[in-house]
Amino acid sequence: MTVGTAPPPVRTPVRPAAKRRRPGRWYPYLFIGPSLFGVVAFLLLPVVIVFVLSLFDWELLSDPTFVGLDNYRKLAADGSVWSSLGTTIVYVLLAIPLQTVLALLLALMLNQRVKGVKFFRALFVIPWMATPMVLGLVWSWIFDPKDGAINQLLDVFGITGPAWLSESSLALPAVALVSVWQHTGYNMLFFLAGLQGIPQELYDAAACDGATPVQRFFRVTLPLLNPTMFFVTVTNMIGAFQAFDTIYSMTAGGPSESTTVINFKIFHLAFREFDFGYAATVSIVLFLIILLVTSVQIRFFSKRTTYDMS
Amino acid sequence: MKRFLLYATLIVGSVITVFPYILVVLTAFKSQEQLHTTAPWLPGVPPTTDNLTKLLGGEFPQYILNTALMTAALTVGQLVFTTFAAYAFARLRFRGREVLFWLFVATMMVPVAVTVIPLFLIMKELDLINTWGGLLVPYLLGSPYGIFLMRQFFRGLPAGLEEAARIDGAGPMTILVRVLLPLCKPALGTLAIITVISSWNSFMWPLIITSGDETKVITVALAALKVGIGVDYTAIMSGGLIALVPTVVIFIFFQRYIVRSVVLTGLK
Amino acid sequence: MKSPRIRLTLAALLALPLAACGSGGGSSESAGPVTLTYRLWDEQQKVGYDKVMAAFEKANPNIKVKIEVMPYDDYWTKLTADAVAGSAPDVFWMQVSYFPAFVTKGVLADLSPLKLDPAKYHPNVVASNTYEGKLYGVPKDWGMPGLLYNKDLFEKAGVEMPDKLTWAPDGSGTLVELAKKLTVDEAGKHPGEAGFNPDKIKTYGFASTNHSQTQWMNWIESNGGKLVDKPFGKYVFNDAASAEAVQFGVDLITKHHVSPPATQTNPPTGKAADMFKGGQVAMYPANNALLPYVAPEINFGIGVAMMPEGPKGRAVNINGLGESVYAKSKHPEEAMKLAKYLAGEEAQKSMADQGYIFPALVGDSLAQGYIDFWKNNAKPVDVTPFLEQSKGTTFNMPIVTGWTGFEQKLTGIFNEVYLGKITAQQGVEQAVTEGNATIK
Repeated sequence: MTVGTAPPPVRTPVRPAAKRRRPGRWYPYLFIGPSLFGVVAFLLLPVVIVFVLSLFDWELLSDPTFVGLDNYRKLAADGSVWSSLGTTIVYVLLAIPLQTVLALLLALMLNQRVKGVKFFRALFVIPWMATPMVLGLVWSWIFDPKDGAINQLLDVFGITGPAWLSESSLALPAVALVSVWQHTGYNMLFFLAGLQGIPQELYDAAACDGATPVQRFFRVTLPLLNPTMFFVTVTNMIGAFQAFDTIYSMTAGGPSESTTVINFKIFHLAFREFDFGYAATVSIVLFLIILLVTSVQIRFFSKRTTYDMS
Repeated sequence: MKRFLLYATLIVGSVITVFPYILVVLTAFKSQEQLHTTAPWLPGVPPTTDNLTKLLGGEFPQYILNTALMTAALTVGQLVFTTFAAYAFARLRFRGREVLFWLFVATMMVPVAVTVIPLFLIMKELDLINTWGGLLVPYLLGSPYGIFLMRQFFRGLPAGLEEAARIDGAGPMTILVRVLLPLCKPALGTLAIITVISSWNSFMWPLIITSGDETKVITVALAALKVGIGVDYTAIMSGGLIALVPTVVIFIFFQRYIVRSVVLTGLK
Repeated sequence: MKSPRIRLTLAALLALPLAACGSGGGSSESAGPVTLTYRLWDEQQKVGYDKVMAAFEKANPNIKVKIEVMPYDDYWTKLTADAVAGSAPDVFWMQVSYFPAFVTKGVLADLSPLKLDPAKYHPNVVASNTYEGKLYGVPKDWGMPGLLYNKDLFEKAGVEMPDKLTWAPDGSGTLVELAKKLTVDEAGKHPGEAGFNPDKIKTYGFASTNHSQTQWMNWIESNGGKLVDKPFGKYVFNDAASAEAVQFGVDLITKHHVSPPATQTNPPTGKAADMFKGGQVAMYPANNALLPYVAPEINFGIGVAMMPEGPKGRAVNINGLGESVYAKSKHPEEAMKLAKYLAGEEAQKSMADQGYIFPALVGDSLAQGYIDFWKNNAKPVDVTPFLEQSKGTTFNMPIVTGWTGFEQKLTGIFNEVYLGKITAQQGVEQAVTEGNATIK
């Protein structure tokens, strides 16, 4: 895969004008060449191997045996995997809408003339910069039933706070909240960059037509943010379906497996139970589910018209 | 009134955002004794810099340097190759464009926990285990995530932009560099920030592919402070603080690129 | 010798062109110094091993040792990946929980050629490194729980630590009695006194927590229960004696009110150790390996007592590490040499003298180094009760395949028990059923 030896795309004056509309077929590949090589060799190939391994019984430390679809049959009857999938879906539903909407609101606020705007922007992104281990520790202090900041604050108002991470009904919302805390500012970054790309003239035109700020938001801002929104929701979804490390350090999947998300299950199957073939199988099913959700998102976003400036 | 509400919201948001970090900072400057005798949100009096100096006096600076090297290499590589690929996916037409693009994105949908073993085996065949090459190569040539991000931004640019340049005889490279990139500064700034910080914080791959001190990165060194049997909170929080400071500095540096000089109003 | 069959299988399956560019791996044959890799997970002990390895290198000028430290949580993930790829370190730490998984898959080298005399080592540590009658790990050290206590709180309560503490499932015995005297609520009342408020306890007499090694396993074995029928056997702690014993651990919290609630102590975020360090807990069962993490952090006098005696006497968990040699090491001879050295007095004495471990080699003279270190420490601790315990009835963590997969589940089940959401009887039954299903 030597990209460098190929000649650079030279435009000769002899080329007719029609060629401008239909450029040569090969040079786009020069642009994607290096990434294509990297992605295929180091990201796609492992995924393909995982696909193949899902047809094997492999305890990692011994040789794999081909078992056909046995792992898939086992999965169909494995209640613990399905329930952790359910947990994951609830987690996604708790975290994604909230962290997307909050991020957009923050971006709108910080896309104005505000004193200390740079300071606020940096501040809100900080949660995303931390290492998960440190985060998990700090948040478990905050959620402590007795000496934790949350319950101490509630105490001021005379409320006895619950044991957040020991209650099956509260632990998942609690860890989802940490995800919202962690990702809101991060998503805000994309919305900010998106907002910066919207030409002022469009707002001026809308204002001339007598549109209220709310109308302007829904008719100008939101449609023009469509590509950003698409990116944010798709990548957040992919990430949330694979959430794991912060949850792991806060609850280790408990109590009563109420926070055992699917990616934790996969890690556990692979490296604690040494059932790699089966872990691969569960991963493939997770992959298919994410793929399904993503294709729904693609459909949803492609229906909505993108703008045409010309 | 509106202004007041705006600032009130921002300030409340800031407090919630920064509160856990206040705990990190306060703990980093506490002695062991103060850790157990003061509430997490109160400072230790007098503050001590012992934890920080202890870490910085050890091998931590070496790990920070390693991390900086890794981050620099990955950021340069990813910025260049990601931009190229995203440009092609967004603004050029070629066969298999959509299929290839979604194939790229699809690689993000399989958990690293299972792909890491095959990747490690591939690296073994390439004799790259425990080398800088092994650490960098898989992620040097662009990331699906970054390509996705940049593709979205390139797509958002008006359709007719290239036309004029093309009539002037500019090739796709010239169009990319002269016409499109200047318009993409916010996106490029965002991409740079993301790449820097996610490289800086990457943990799983450095942990698996390398094991020596020569290539040890800060996240792995930080995790080693949490031994199975005991947790030294002041050390971990100090390490967390040391790891965080460079990212914040870099963020502030790149921030100016994501915000154009004219502040636009999206909401009044 | 660097290509396990798995990679060939994969390569064939996918027709990987990569196999062609893998190097032949023959570079190790040359003369000159050989570099061995030695891997462990404890940043503190690494400092001790720097010394040990320097001495080893001096005695073996043609061998260099490179020490690698991995974070504990991820040590096993990394070691697994290395074992799969054939790139594991030459010599590395092994622990009883992972020993069965690795030894049954042929990752560890048979150490019979070292001709070690098992009688010289603590029998439990020999057992946890033995598979089918052969040693697969050099017995390195042992650690066991003892009862750490806060001397200042004892003084304040006007009580003394008796020669031995006793407990029984019905709550009789000196442990509960003493713990009640040490437990004080905000109004200064003790459990059992009129007006005592269990929701407003300021100082707890004892920390009863969901921790297998230092807590409920000891209750079980000192009440006549058994964890497993034999090494590489199955779990059997679902009998009445075991359930009773576990219930006692819960009673300390909910019935006797001498221990902090499980909401504050359950793993993974439990903070019993922090409460002890902060002076909120008077007695805290902890492994002697925790001392380096406790001693520098406290501003009170710290004592060590032997674990309480149950109805069937005292039975204390003991946990020893092994030094394993990689079966596919490129330098088997040198690796064996290092293992032999680590098995010897010189290495184990050095680690004991530096205050890191009780050596697996038995003999008071060797252990004395560790005792002296802690006696002369800035925060002096008398660690002799640990040594005395090690000579009495001791038992291993379960040596069972599948333990690594089961451990998390077990912790989850016992979290429920300690929270009082299920009874001890339900807990042990569920645990044994699920545990035996994981045995391979």
